[in-house]
This record gives sequence, C-alpha cells and structure tokens, in this order.
Amino acid sequence: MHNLQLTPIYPGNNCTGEPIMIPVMPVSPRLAEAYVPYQIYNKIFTPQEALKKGTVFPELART
Amino acid sequence: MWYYEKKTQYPVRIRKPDPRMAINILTQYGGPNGELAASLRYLSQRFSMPTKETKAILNDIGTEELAHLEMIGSMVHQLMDKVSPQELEKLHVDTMYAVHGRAVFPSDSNGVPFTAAYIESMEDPIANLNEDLAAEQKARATYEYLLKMTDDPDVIDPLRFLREREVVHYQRFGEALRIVQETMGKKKFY
Repeated sequence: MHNLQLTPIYPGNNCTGEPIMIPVMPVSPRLAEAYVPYQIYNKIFTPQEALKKGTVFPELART
Repeated sequence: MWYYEKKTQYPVRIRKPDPRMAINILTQYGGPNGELAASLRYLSQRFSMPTKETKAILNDIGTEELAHLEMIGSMVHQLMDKVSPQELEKLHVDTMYAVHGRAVFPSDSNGVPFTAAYIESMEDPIANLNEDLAAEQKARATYEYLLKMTDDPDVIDPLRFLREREVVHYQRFGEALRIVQETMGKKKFY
C-alpha cells in the first residue's frame, strides 16, 4: 500500500480520456464510504483454466 | 449495439432431467436477484454514470448478464424437457405446468412474475453502484443455495461458473465506485 508499484495507473487514451491514478486502497479514507481494493494486473490462468474457473485472475478465483 | 454468438458463455449440457431443480433455478431467470433484473439494472444505470470507464463497466456487465440469462434459460429448459405431466405431478411441480407448460417464463421459483420493481436506476452514481455491489452478493448467495440443492455435476458445473462471475463483477463494481470517488472527489462534488 505504501509502495508506488502498488498504484495502478490508467494511461488514458482516445477511448478512456484523461489518465487516472488510483491507489490499491485510498490514501485518506473517509468515514461513510465503501472501498474495494483496486486490482493490480498479475499472473493470469491459461484460457482453458480460466473458462473452467470462471475468471482469468487467480486472485479472484473462489473455489 | 450487440453482436450475437450462437453459443452460451459456458457450456450447458444437462443429461438427466430434474424438474424440481429446474423450478429452483428459475428464480435466477426472472426472480428478484436473477440475471434479467441484473441485466436491466446495469444497462439502465449505465446512462447516468459520470465517466467513460464506469459507463463501460456497467455496459459490459449488463451485457454479460444477458449471456447468463441465456445459460439459466438453457438449464431450466434442459432440466424440464420431455418430463411427462404425470411425473411433474408426482414431484409437485405441476402447478407451474398448469400455467406455462414446460416453457421458460421469467418468474421466480414460486411463479411470481418478473417486475422492474426489483431494480432501481437513479441519477446518483454512488447510490447506483452500492445497489449493484449488493445485487452481486445476493446473486452469489442464491447460487450458493442452489449448489446445495443438487449433486448432479452437469448442473453444479455451470452454477459454479455463474457464482464465480458474481464475485468478479463485485470487484469490478467496487473499482467503478473507486473511480467515481477519486474523480468526483477531485472536483469537490461530494
């Protein structure tokens, strides 16, 4: 969380517009707000495995 | 606009009919936490999302829910197909047969027809996204109930896939909420 590498950056393009930087968790969280950790791109399953599991991301697979 | 693929998102090939399970699964077709409600909710809320990314997230997930509706419809159909009315009577699912035959009708498992009252679409994106997060959890819970009611691997397999998709969608809606919080926060709208 304190590591800059953990900060995903939206590069922004013709389609998505201006770049946005979103840390994995908010730097200064506020009360009465809900936060979900922002996912970081990591290793992925093979297409066959992904179809079987229902996701290509190992961190999101709940079996 | 949409392109149509002549296959389901995940294979549905159920060999053994099970009309009771068909009726149980029917709630994910036209019930309060079902795929039709999910799809209409996201595809309607999409228009009031404040950024391109969040619009795209709702449009993509709303589209995928239509693919799930197709999978659930296939499951209900295959579980009911060719079962005799006598057999349905024995299994106490004959009241459904009296109203719809063996057709797939958007209702919950008790026969309560689908209604748009199951969903909301507001101009406030924070309100919408919190509803969407809750909707994914309710659908996940429903799939877990359904998984406890069958031991047929042909049924378990697609149900597990659909349950996992709810988990992934929760993550994406959470990220959409983060995008709204971070971008709107900067403009001091909230």
